[in-house]
Amino acid sequence: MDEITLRKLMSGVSADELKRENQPKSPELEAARQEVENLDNTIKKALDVSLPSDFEARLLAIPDDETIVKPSVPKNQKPIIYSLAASVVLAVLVLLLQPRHDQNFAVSAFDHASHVHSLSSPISYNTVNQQLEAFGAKLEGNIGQVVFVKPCRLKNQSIMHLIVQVNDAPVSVYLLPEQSNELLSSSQDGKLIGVPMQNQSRQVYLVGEDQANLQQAKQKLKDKLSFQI
Amino acid sequence: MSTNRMRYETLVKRYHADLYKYACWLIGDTSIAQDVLQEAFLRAWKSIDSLQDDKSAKAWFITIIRRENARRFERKQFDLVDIDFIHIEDEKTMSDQQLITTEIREHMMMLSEEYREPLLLQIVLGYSTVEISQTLSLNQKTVLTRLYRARNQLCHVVNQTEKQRS
Repeated sequence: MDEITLRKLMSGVSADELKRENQPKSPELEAARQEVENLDNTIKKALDVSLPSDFEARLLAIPDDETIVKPSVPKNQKPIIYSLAASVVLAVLVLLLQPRHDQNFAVSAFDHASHVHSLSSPISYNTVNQQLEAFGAKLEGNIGQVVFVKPCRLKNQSIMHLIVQVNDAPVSVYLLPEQSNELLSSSQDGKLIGVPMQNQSRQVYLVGEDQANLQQAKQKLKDKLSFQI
Repeated sequence: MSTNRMRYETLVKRYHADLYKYACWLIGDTSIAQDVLQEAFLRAWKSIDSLQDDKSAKAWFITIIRRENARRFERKQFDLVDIDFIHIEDEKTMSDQQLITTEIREHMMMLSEEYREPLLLQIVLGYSTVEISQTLSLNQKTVLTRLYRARNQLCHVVNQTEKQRS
């Protein structure tokens, strides 16, 4: 078999393609093709990576985290859209200057937590701190097994969301941004309970099903969670 | 459930496993691969209206993942590779097949990205050489050469390992 044919085989060009190129069908070519096929199967098996059990659920939960979908807009409508957007921004600014009603945050937090509380893959302490670093926060010790850590958008704010297992039950910990002016207070919706806490002038909101677990998580966070000043 | 949501869920279910494998081997770290893939799927969800035909979804996802991975390097220089998923177990207790698997995994990450990526697209995602050349914006002959060299190196690894064992 000539060098070019061998190179083509080793580049993954199939035997059918080679036949179409009028290559003679020889036992030598067939043996070489078989060898490459075996090599590919070996490589394919070697490249297997086990998928984290909750990864699909995390990807499926993305629309719950980010519910704003940009519709495609024809170009000639864009100036109108921009004018409308400017009006909306003005209206939002006026609203932002009004006192905030804290129940809204609890409703969003409960809704968000109920979608992601099924996650269960442990995340290493270093990975958690890498994520928290970007948010100006740091864990200085164990607060329990963290199974989720990700910035999420809640009420148009970027909020760091952690899920910690406390007595085998999930507790959501929402770290609000420094500039947030949410007024948080305790709340409940029949299943989930929400409690606020203040940590170094930063606001934190905890959501879980059990009051005792929430208090336990709150105490641990008071001791181990710090923010850069 | 909205049509967009249903469409997104179908695409996640169909492609996430292969794309995860591709991202792991492209990046060399499972945690970072998960982050990159989550960001990529978030971008995909936000712009799902721009995907005209679901048949081209795989290529669309690959483009988003490659851009997201490139953005990572724009933001920060990473000291890779801490390949936590390469080693299976102690070499002495491995079977021949496990040893070959480990050697291939190690050498896969030693291949430069220009050789590794076309091979991943072909073997993991089943791309043809034409599709690879379109995805990577390369001449088809260049793709063939890179695939040949990548396979050749891995073939050498397999042969060497088999020789050492026998």
